Amino acid sequence: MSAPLQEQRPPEWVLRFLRWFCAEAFHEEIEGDLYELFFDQVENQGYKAARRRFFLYVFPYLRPYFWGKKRVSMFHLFPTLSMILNYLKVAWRNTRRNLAFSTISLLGLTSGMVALLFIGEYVRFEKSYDQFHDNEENLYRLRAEGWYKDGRKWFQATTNFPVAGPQAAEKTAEVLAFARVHWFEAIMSPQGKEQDASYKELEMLHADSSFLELFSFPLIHGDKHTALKGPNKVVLTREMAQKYFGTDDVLGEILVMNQEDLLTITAVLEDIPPNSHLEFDFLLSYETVQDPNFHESWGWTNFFTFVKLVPGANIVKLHEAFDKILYDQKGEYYDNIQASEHWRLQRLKDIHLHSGFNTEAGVDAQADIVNLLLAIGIFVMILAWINFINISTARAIERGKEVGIRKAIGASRGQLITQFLLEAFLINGLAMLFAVLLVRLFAPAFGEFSGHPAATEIWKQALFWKMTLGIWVIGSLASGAYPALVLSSFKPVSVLKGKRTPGNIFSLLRKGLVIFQFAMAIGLVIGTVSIYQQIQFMRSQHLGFRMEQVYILHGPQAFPIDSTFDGHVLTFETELLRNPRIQKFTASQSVPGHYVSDWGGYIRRGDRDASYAKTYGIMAMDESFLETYELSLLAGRNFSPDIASDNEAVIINETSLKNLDFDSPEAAIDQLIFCPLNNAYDGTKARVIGVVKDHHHYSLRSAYPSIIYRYGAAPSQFFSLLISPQEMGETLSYIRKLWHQHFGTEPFDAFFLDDEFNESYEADLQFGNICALFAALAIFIALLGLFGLSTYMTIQRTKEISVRKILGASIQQIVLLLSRQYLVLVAISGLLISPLAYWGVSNWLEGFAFHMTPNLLLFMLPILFTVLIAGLAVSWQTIRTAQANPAESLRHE
Amino acid sequence: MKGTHLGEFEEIILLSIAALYTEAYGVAIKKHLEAETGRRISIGAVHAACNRLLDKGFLSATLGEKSDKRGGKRKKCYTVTMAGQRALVATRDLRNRLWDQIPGTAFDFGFS
Repeated sequence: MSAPLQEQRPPEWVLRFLRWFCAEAFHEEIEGDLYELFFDQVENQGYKAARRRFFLYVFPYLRPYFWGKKRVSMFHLFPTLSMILNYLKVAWRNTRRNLAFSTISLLGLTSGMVALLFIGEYVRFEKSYDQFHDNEENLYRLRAEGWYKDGRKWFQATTNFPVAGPQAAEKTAEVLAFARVHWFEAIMSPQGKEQDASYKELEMLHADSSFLELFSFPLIHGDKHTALKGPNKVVLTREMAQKYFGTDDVLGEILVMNQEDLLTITAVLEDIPPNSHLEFDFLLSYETVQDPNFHESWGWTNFFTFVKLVPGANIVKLHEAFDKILYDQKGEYYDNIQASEHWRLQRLKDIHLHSGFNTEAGVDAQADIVNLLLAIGIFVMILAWINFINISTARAIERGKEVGIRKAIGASRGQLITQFLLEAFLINGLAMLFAVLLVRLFAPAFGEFSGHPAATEIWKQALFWKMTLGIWVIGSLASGAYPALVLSSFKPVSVLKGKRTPGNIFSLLRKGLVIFQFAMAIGLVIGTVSIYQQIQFMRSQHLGFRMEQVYILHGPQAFPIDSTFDGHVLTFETELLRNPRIQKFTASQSVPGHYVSDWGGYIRRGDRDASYAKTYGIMAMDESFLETYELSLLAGRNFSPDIASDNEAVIINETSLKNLDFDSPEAAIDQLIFCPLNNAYDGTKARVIGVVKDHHHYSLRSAYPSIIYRYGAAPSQFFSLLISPQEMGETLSYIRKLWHQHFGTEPFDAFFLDDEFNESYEADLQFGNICALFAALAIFIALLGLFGLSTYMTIQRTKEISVRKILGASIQQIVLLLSRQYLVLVAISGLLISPLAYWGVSNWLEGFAFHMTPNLLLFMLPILFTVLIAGLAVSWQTIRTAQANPAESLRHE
Repeated sequence: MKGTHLGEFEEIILLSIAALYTEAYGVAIKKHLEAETGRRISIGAVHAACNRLLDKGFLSATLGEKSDKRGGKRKKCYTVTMAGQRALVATRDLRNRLWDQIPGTAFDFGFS
């Protein structure tokens, strides 16, 4: 795209650069001629190429002739080669003479850089989600939400009604295309090998035929336009093709789903990129689903719906258009229940980081956490730069003489600044070299630690090298500028006369920087400890149900659920319980830690009108569920197989009790509620026969969910078994054997409940580990700096200390004298950061419905700990100096 | 540095300015020379040479009209001064004298 002729201009920065270095007298002529040549180039090569190459014209003018009167100062800004060689030599000698301090600077800089480079890669990956699609800027997700007139939330979904996509495309001009997907699970096997190669697949999608056109998932075989057209077509990834057939080329092969449906493979996809929020193994053509309810429902929000808009579509206008479509269809219903529903567009690339809804299709991350990590990484890097600044300025006394002599011989201040900046570039460059080597070395470990596959080949990213360069340049300037300005400001006469430039001149700034460093470090330690404490809290909390020794089997998937199903389960149960080590058995639709669906139904008390309707989780259970999980009844009774009317009865939990607005558990008994039994909302009423105590069904992160239990073994997603701890291996193989006797080729899929709950803390634990790593790094860098600083200052005061000793000071007194000021600084940092840390920690804890209360110890212990190790770092040199024989240091005077 | 001596590049710049007469400014000189010599010539080199010749007094310059094509900047047109002409003539004379001193057989590369 080229700009109109009158707006075409050469790049302004080049012209500005030219004007800067070129003498005034030449401007008119040169600029005019360059403009003319520029337009020639535009005609020959196009606007962009001409702009890109324009700066090449400026090179020939970089000769002293054109500099005019600026000639002299320009000359000093670009030192001659021999001068640079001299700077390098002096820098090298200084580095070697003070190897300890150079190492401290280098060590800090290198570790900061490694951390920042890794974090940068992590952030890049997190922010790259879903941007590989060709039309990414026009792709949106169309989701649904509902609000009551009084502002209360009705529901908020990432999904939408199945009719939403077609309606939006039909009734608005801006929606060009749509694709709906619906998640499901099935048992798959290649035709003819059902006995040997049956797998339970969890990542399967029903997808509209437009799915592969809307998104740019690359195909290896097949045609993206036709692959999903017509019933019984399946598309699978390369990985799955290998798993089932051992080859990529599987076009036309037949897969059997749930041991009855035959599906033809019409395309093979490249494996789904790790930075796609949609992760799936199989795509099934939409027409495979025969159920008409599936296609035309205005009430069942279970479809992720993606749309492609015209470029530059007005989102607000579209939202209004959607509201109208919905109101035209369901207006009466909305007015009746005093609420409204809306379809909302959400940019595809925002889904991964900026969504924040509970039900996401793929891995969900929080932008806050990603940005927080980036901030921590940058802060750690800043800590290392501060070390460099502190050590450089502290050593000003030594360098002062060099500066004095250079100035006396005729060096300008500009030259000295150049020299010291060059040194900063050298040290930072060396640190960066080590950092890149370390990154290369630790990339696989980091990839594993962070769970990001792309991180193992981090150096193949262009961004990595840009960051490397950026950190080097910015870091050198940031850490080199202040020391360069300070060192170059010395007056030659006073430094050469031997009048000492006291370290105190800069000490206020240096103290401030040390306080900043330790405040950061202590803040990170407090944060880390809080995270671990919260995890500890969650683990130690009793969740309100029995978790130990509960072994759970996933119920059969393909097995026909009909009138005989309950009987099958019953015989399975009877045979299981024959084994004395299996103490209890219960069949249920959900178990703790697993989702309890609301089935899209709205529940209210029998004596209230529709405006009181809310959604509640509903699950089926048999009569032994409460006993197996040790859930206690507050009022009423359990289901009983002997009472026929229990099929129309429900048991509710405490939260449901409150939401239904009953005064007490007793008051709820025998009341009627509108409730969808048998998964269908047909307006029947159910009788409440029991109220059960709340338990933490999901985790302590969320509040108690409202759950309504109905009676029945079918459809059972889970069989929970309470088994005794003795000879478990034998018991487990007994269970597996029985399973295959009863359910044939159904895959056996089982887990221990407590294992699963422990795994659910994994993400928090990982976040804690990352914070711990950075806290340790920050403390390490800050300590390095403090160690260097105190060592240097102590050496400066060696003679003073010797005199003090001779006059009778004890070792303890001297150590205290030398260490005190540093420890005070560290303590001050702790006090300064505590309020901020308290605010941050409370904020984070708010994400948990149940959390620990931060106490004073949480803040005092990290501060005390840091003061202690800071004391150790400082005392290493002070004790050595204090113990030294005073005669040694005084003798050679 | 000042004097009547002309370098090779200065000489061809002076000659083309004389040839272009009233339309001798940076870009025109560059294009003329590129067409005649077949070499690529950088505009910077042209500017440097012209301004040196101006300092030596071999050229005089006038500023022309502003134009949009030049980003609102004026042209700087050069003309050869009397001193410039003298220097060119002196250079040519030197060449001619040297040519004349070459004996007739010196360039006889035929097979003998």
